[in-house]
Amino acid sequence: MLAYIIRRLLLLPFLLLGVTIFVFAIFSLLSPEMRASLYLTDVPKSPDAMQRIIHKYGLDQPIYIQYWQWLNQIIRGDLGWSKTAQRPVFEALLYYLPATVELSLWAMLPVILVGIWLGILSAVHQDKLIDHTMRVFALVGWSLPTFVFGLLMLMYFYAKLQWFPPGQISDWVTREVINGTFIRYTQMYTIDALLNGRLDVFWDSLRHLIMPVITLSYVQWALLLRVTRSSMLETLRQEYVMTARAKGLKESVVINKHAARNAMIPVATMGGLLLIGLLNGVVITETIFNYPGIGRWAADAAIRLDILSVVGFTLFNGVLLVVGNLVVDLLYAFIDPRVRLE
Amino acid sequence: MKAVWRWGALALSLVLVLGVTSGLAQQVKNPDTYIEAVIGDLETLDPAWHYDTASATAIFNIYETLVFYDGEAIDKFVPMLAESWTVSPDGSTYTFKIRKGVKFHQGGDLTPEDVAYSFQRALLQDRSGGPIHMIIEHVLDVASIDELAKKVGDAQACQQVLNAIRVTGPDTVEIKLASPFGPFLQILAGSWTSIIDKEWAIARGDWDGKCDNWRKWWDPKAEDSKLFDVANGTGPYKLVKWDKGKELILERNDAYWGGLAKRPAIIKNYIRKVVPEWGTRLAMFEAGDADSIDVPRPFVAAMEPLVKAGKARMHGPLPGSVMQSAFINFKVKEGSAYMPKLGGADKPDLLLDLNLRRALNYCFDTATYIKESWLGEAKPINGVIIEGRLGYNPEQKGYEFSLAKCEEELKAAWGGKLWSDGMRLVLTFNQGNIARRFAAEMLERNLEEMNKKRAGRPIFSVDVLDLPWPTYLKAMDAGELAVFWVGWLEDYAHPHNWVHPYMFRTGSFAIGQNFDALKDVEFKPVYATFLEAKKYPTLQDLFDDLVVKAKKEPDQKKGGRAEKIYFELNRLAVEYAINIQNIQLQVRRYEQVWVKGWFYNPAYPGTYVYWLSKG
Repeated sequence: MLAYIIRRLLLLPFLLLGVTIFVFAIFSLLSPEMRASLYLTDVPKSPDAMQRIIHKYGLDQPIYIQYWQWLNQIIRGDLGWSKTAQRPVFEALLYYLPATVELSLWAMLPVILVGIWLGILSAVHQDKLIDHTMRVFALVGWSLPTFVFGLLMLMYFYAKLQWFPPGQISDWVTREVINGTFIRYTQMYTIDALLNGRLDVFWDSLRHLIMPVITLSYVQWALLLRVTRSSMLETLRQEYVMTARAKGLKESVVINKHAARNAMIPVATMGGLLLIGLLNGVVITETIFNYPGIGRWAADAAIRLDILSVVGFTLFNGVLLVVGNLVVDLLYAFIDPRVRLE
Repeated sequence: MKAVWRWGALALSLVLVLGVTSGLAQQVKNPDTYIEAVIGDLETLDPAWHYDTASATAIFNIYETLVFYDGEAIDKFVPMLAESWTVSPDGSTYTFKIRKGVKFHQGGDLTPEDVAYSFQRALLQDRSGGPIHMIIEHVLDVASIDELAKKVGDAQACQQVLNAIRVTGPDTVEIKLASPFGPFLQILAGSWTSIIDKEWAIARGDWDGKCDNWRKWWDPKAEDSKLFDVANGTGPYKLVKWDKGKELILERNDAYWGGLAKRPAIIKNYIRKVVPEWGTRLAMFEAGDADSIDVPRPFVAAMEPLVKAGKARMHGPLPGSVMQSAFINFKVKEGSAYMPKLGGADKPDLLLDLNLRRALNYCFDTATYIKESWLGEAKPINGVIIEGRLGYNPEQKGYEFSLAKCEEELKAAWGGKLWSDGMRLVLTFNQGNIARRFAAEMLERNLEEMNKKRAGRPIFSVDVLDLPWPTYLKAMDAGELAVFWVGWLEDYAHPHNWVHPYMFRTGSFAIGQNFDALKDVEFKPVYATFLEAKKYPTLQDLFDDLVVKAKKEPDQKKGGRAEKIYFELNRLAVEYAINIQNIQLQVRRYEQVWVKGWFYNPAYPGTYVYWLSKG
């Protein structure tokens, strides 16, 4: 298994190289003027402004030279400057990532627990009221656009009830961070709050997370519920489950010990991909709730043709995808002993 | 997809505003903090680098200029960091007496050296696409410091800057212009001439004040400026933190020298939060967590129920500083992909014909355009100078919408050839601009309507084409577009900032209009009768001459000689139909009812928190 892991990790640099060449090749289709618009969003008010900007940022050089220069920078550990984030790309990744990871982890918990639990519940009670209710619930979740659901949540629970504000943290916590009375160890406020022993900050952070977490996880619940349900149904029809029942085992033992574990094989694959998907797919949720995560930054960068930010984000995604898939494979082997990774 | 999202958001917000807002308590939230929820973040905190309103808003709350606008006035100035000033009789030398007892936020004393350094640094930095060209144009009579350096060498160029702006006494600084420029104080009131602490800047690694290696600091990238994300001004607020992409936090400068109202600011903290999504900003406003928010025009309807219910205050519609215009190119560049045709053959100078240009104006239904595209919140401007500025002439007549007159002019165009042989014309605008699309499509419909007025096959072919913004700018600058829509946001509240882009040879739009194509132009003054009637080689020469004359005219008062020259320029713009009906946009501001003290000065880039209080 170790050899398998090492082999997969060794493939990573080649994959990333290919991805960056691809991104640069796509950007080479854009004219220097088009890419200069990142630095010039209004009518140029001096005659030579456009040309000066193109020259200053090296946009008039052939794309392979730009790529080579960028590659040299990378080797020196410099991913370039993100115009969108107004900071170096690497710093931007580090700055925005913890917020998204925090959001995704909080979202992952209800996704997996609720999604799997409801899926099993639905399968066990097939064609009964609870099953129909769950299926409608899943259908609604799957059909409801995230931005509509998010906005509804925002308008009701924030604008009217003022329970759960948008953003990441309240202004008074920001003050404490600035004044140094609250230390950010992990850049994830809920964890940092516990490390600082500050339940007030923990609660404040949680209040800001509740709406984005629900918005983000509802769609994923629906998806996981359906996958779990169908997998579980298939497993419940297996002969060994019938044998277990025939042996007179309690229904809870049959479900939890014999059926559920095998039904979890496709669910585990799905769960791993879900986490990757959550990290990537938080754009709308982060935008609606003004949550300063990596998704919002990357989307903004792509819209503004901020090539260095886009490439930086792509690299991050590549690593995430490879490592994520590796974890899923390992999980797969753990759940199903028949699987051997070689 | 984006549009669906936006419209969905609008519909939802309308429903929710109507349904959800009842019963909100009107209590003042965060009484000592002013919070704005805005669409975009700043670009920089370097006064000489910034050229966007978001940065300017931050900078003019932190830094100060020599002079400032007198209340709501845009053409009257009061001393700020200059205690007083004098102008030499020939109008080319300004001497400022620098205020004493003023301290920078980090403790340094304001000195005349700081003032001279701030200007010199700005001129030598002169970043591409930045604001400093406005000062360089008048101080050094070139477009950029690089242009001057290429002419006279680096050392000499720097020396010229140091000679033009210098400390002349223990408390005085002198600025020498290359030639008189009446509205120079307008430029000095802009945040790009904010005064910085020389010692602090040098200590941070900025320009060392010497001429031997100024190029090291010339034209930096935003992030390479040593003052990119730090600030040390003399203003009513000081920087606490700029959390890029998230928020800017300022706090009151309790050691403030007093400013315009001879007191420190009332509001203790100013937080400018970046909230790109409209629905979120609206929710923040409703929850009372934002004292004012950016409200794009398509969403103003969502604010109306709040205003009617007494839960929000609306200022406006107020005359804005933006004009939307369609520009006519007298001779399209050879080889252009947007080449006009006359009778099926390429005709680069199709629009050189005055009748055709007039026809375009008569065929343009301005009232419908304003109603549909701008929700009725715009005003037609006959000429190139907006209302409220010197030189705006309310008596100036324009072209009223009339399909009959349009037909008449088309029949006369090119001696009748256009009516018999037809034409092809491409109307262009930048991708995604719905208002400009509406304008172009409306003109297209009305021109093609003319096909019905004549027997035979349709011969008037008008295409509407949207281009990506950078491609559009490039084609515009190269003179490749026949008719193009753009907007202009003024830099400073003076007509020179209008006639220059619209009519001067190197102006941002005139550069793509090729006025030189119209030869032997007779000028007979109507308003500026003190000017000589004469013939100019080209229309561009006439425009250039009048723009420069108006600029140099020392009498810049209402009813004075400069105003009369601007009247002439407006008249000529209409008579030669260089645009298709300009319109001045109006603006609104929405704030919580507890906000006190706000007033409208169109020259302010954003909220000047010093004037505000809550309660």
